[in-house]
Amino acid sequence: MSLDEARKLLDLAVEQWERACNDAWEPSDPASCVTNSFYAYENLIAAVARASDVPYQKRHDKKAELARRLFENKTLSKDLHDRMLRLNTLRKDVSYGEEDIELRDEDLEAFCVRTRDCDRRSEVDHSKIRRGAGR
Amino acid sequence: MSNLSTSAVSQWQGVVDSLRARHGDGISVVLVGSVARGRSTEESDIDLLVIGERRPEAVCDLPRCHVQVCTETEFIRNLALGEDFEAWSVRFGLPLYDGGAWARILRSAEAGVWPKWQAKIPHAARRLFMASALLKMGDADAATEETVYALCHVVRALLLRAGVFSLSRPELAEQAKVLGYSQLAHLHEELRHPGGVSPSRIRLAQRYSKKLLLHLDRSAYAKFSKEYRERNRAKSSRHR
Repeated sequence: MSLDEARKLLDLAVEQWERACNDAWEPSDPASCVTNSFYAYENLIAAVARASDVPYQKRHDKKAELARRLFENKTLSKDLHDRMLRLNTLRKDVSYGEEDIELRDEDLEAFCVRTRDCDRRSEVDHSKIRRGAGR
Repeated sequence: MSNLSTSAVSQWQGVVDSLRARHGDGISVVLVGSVARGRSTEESDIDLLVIGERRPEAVCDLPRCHVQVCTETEFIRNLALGEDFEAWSVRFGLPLYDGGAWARILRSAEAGVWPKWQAKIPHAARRLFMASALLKMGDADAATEETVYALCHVVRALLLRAGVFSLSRPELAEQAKVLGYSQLAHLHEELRHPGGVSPSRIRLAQRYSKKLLLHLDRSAYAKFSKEYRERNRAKSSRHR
């Protein structure tokens, strides 16, 4: 059932966001922070897509495009496309072990605040998903 | 090092023009990764390396384009440190445009430095711990992806230690097989291709990666693992 799956994905996004916050706090772990933030966004978008019965592909660029479409059709209040692509770039950098280069310029707290804002905006959807799944 | 044909260069001309317009003629733009090797697949990203006097904030409008930026100094420093991305780029990167830095890098003494396989151990361990955490929380897709990164680092370490230069990601399995690690090659291919891998296969790949890391350098793995656990423990106690 789509709503059950959406709820699981949203729970994952929340857990990953919590981990990203923990990573951002001192002593910070930038590599882990961007990776958790990235997956949190992806699961958030996947959850909204599932709850809205919108099909999606697992490719990262397709999920970012989906985020834009969900914004354009007013399902989401913010366009997360560019942010997801940026996080994907940073995540790839850290995955290849290049974490020192780009992350120096990133504000980890800002990442988490933005993810949290996004998560708060999704709370209405979250409660809808939860109510729906309980039916 | 290979050179691109005129038609291939013209294919990238728009990207190069846009980067030069944004950052000036002093930059160098190099195609790296599986596209540069002519071994890209449907899942492959386009990887560009952009080198500037100052680190450019490079943006590429092409879909699935990943841009790695650095200064000439940073690039040469990493070559000297034995980082394999820079060493790979020097050997297989295809220059799309050179404002001068790329030619200087290729002429440098550091261009001949063999990458240190030991540098791959913490990179692999980090991905492995991340993959393990993701699997525990139930995100199999993300765990698969992080496990693939860990496997890649492990394969590259094994190859470099054996005196073999690792190629692009789609070529790693074949290289691992030739080196005698057919199960590693199989797991790498299985996880790399989309289509839902079971958690038990992901766990198997993680266990095998750990075993190989211990085989490669037990003390380096143990040191990283200890630091990782201590950092997490310190955070948990602080935020409890």
